[in-house]
Amino acid sequence: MITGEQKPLEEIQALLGDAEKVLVVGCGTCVTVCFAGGSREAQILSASLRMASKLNDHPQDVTDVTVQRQCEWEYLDEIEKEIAEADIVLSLGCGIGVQAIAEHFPDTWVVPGLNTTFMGIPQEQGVWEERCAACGDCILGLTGGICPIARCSKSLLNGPCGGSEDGHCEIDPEVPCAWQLIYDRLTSMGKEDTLLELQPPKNWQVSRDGGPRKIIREDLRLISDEA
Amino acid sequence: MSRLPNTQQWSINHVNNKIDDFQIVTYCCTHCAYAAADLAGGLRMQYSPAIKVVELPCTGRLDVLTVLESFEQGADGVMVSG
Amino acid sequence: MSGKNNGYLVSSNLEKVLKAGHFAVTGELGPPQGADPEVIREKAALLKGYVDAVNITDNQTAIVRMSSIGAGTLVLQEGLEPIIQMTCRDRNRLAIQADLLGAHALGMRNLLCLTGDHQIFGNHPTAKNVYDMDSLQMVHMLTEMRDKAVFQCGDEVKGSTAGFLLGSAAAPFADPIDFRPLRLAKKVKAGSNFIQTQLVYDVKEFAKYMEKVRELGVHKETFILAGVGPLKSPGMAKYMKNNVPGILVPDEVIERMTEAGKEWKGKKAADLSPEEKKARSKAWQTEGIQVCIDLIKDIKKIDGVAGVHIMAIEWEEAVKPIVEGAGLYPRPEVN
Repeated sequence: MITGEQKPLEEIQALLGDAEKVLVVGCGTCVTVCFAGGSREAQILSASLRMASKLNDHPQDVTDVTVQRQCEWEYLDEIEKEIAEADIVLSLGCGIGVQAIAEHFPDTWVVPGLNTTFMGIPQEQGVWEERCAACGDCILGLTGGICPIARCSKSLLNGPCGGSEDGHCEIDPEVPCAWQLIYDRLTSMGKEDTLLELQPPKNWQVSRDGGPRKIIREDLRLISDEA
Repeated sequence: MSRLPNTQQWSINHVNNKIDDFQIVTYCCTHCAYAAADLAGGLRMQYSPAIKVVELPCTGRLDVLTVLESFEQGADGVMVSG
Repeated sequence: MSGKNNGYLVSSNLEKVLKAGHFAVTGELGPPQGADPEVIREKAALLKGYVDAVNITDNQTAIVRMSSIGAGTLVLQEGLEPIIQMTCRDRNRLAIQADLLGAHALGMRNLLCLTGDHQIFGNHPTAKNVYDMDSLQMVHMLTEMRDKAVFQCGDEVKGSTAGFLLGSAAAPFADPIDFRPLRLAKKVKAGSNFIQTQLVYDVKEFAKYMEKVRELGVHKETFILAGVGPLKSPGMAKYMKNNVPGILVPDEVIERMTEAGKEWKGKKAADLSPEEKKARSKAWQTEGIQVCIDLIKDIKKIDGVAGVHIMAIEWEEAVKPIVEGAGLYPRPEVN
């Protein structure tokens, strides 16, 4: 899932400026399950903004609506009317949701209420950890299902570096050393020989470094470019 | 607009209909704080008219949205008692 | 390639000293956080004649300093041989190769390949890091560049290529400890011609590590230089023991340092006069140098150790008494 964290109220207020009619748009998918931008958070934030704007003597009309997924056009069509009535839209979706609203409603000024953080896992109640960097060339088959690109601070392919201590990364004793985890898992499964193979430099072209990425599946398209 | 169950909405409206300078909404658990308030009433004990009691089946039922809504509708303070 | 140079890869002084079987001594020179060439010249003067080559750090601990190649050029001008350090933190494969073509053209022949401390420790913690490659991939890339005259992409280097004696760092006591000798073997397999280790204070533990290294036969395929460094105070020893990953400081070393300052025992720094503080500092430093000398003498006895790398960080004056005290002066001249 995609995780996010709500921006501080002061920053959100600054983004909204003096707009009179504010529409807060929640998203019912990833950011709902990480308690950052679902229906509930949209309602709480709306109430907070209404009160905060009142206290600042510039009362704003803040309403909220939540769609199942901000990143799909069909769901955005459902809120066309609410969007049209608003002076400004505060999206509590991830960065994709914010951009989808901006793209779908070209005349609407949309600002983000969240900082989209990472793709990860709810490790325990209230704790989320990063797991995937979407590098475009998965190597989890070599590393026992533990990703060094996303989870090693230096994205090493031939780790661990010398900064690993007591199973933790040098950057923070709260961060587990990904290569210690890989080492433990590979040795426990009798695959430690994999660790001795020199992994060549990674092809970052298929990652973000190659430029914005796009997937085209002709077998799924309704209208093909070739037709 | 309201997201509260009808009984609570009634309570808040009931509270708001009383014109007072100062309003504290008190959410009370039916099993302890509300029973205590009831007993205080039975004993004719005096407490500030600013305090408006809203009975809840359990204070665990109290949602942050309910608290925010109390403030938005004019409460000066919210007390949770359970 | 080797046939052209009387069997040498690059014919650097360090390579010659190591291949002649001498117990090598390397030092360390940290460039300044400024552009003053005199700082480098002064430090180089303190080390010249006492080390076979000197490491020039590359934005050490992720703090911006004069570049290692720039400082290395000044060191070369002073008649001292540099070992350029280069991290993967600040450069991608294009920049690494380009800078090293330049370094070779300027006369540098030794290189220590490092992954690099994470930038979060330095003075630009909000920077974006690179880590396009890791140190092993860098060693392999530069081995191919030296021996096959090809860039990482496979294209040929035009004209003469850049050839370096390639080194790697080793952390014998970092976790996972069982993997460390194997990781060293992996670094050598990638092409590391020499190895410089993290600071060694615990000779017994280092000897155990070297035993495993010898079992793997790695010491025959590379030159292993043990890292040593003089302690300045018992506080520094305790700090390293407790706070620096991968450094073991045995209690007897801390006791020796504490004992050296026993005259001022129980007194806080605030209670001491400037003269007393100076005297205590001097006593600690003298003992720190002696501890370092004793460590070198013990390490020299371990089979498979080809030399020492003396890290006297911001204390280059200490190198002379250490090298002399350890009986490693004068340094050999190999033609």
